[in-house]
Amino acid sequence: MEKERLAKDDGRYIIFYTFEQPGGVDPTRAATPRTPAAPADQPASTSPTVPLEHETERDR
Amino acid sequence: MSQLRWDPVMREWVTYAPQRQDRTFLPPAAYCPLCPTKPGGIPTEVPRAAYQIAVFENRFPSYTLSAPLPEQPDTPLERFAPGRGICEVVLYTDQHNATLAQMDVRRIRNLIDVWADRYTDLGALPDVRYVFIFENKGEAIGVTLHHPHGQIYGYPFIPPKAARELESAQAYHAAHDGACLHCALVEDELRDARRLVAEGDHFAAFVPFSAHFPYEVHISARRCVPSIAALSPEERADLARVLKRVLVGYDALWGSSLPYMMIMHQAPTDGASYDGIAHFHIAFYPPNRTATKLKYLAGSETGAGAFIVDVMPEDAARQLRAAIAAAFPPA
Repeated sequence: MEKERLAKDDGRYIIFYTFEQPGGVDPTRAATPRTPAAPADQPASTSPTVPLEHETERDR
Repeated sequence: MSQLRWDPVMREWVTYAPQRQDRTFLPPAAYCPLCPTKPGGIPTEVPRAAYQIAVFENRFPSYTLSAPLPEQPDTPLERFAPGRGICEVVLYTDQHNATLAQMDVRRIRNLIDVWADRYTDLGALPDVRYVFIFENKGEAIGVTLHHPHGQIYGYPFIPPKAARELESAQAYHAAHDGACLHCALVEDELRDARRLVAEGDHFAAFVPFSAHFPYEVHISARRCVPSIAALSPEERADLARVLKRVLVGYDALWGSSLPYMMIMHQAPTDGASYDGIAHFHIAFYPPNRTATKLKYLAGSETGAGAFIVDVMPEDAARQLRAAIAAAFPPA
């Protein structure tokens, strides 16, 4: 593992790590990224707009 | 500026970092600040055209080494402290559309070396008492940048959950002739096997007996090892293989890229000894309770601290084992 630390213009640092065997991306088994399993705007369970199904399931 | 305020009721520090309100929020891919800077293109956080793994100081940190001393004096009920610590961003790859689950085992193995190096470096800083390595994945978790990355917080205190876990481990250690609580838990999960999800020579992945989230998984070292930096090369390779299976299993569970919080639990770096008490493990907390429904930390969980879980751990483990078996059929 090689490690190279550089100063950025604003004074922060960045470190680059380099490996002889870098590996990489192998998407064959994993799911397509960025597919939220639930919509980000799904209403909270306390919201008055929440579907009734949501509450009844919780109450079972 | 970052400021700590002591909550005398909960007996814990709360961090205020209002400068983070301006952080970049879900930019389009063409403006991703974590992608490499292409020749002639918009400068990003990474001043190179390509990289393998990179780590940089967060532009919008919750803690900084230069946080000023509080201007106000303490009172009996109002205690302040500077938010002195450090926040880093870990870039897993320069490929914008990938996920950790999509990394091959070799890249995950390299990433483990980077995490270990950061634990050692940040833990050596005088202001850092706990190195917290984590990843928030998915918009459901509140992630603000889609590029595959994790974060590291160098806290100036031992965070409350870690402190509570260490207290439990210390009590067990004292009551059981120096035995490690987490070693006992791993042995129990391996013996019981109903909640096992994946197993390697050096690591075991399982849904804990008392999981707080429906599909929570812990990947725990089978040896009593205090931190990721103390893992041997063989253990790191094994951890990479087990991590890959768990990550792919999560995606295979419902055929979608599952959001999660991935948290590393390890020894504080405050100079004290945690032999037989701190035990390296990784916890995954996905927010989903079904493919399309989220588990909210609502009234009982947030207000009372009492978790109510919709899925039995044994059922969750069975589903995850089946998902992993389908994704990794026998050769």
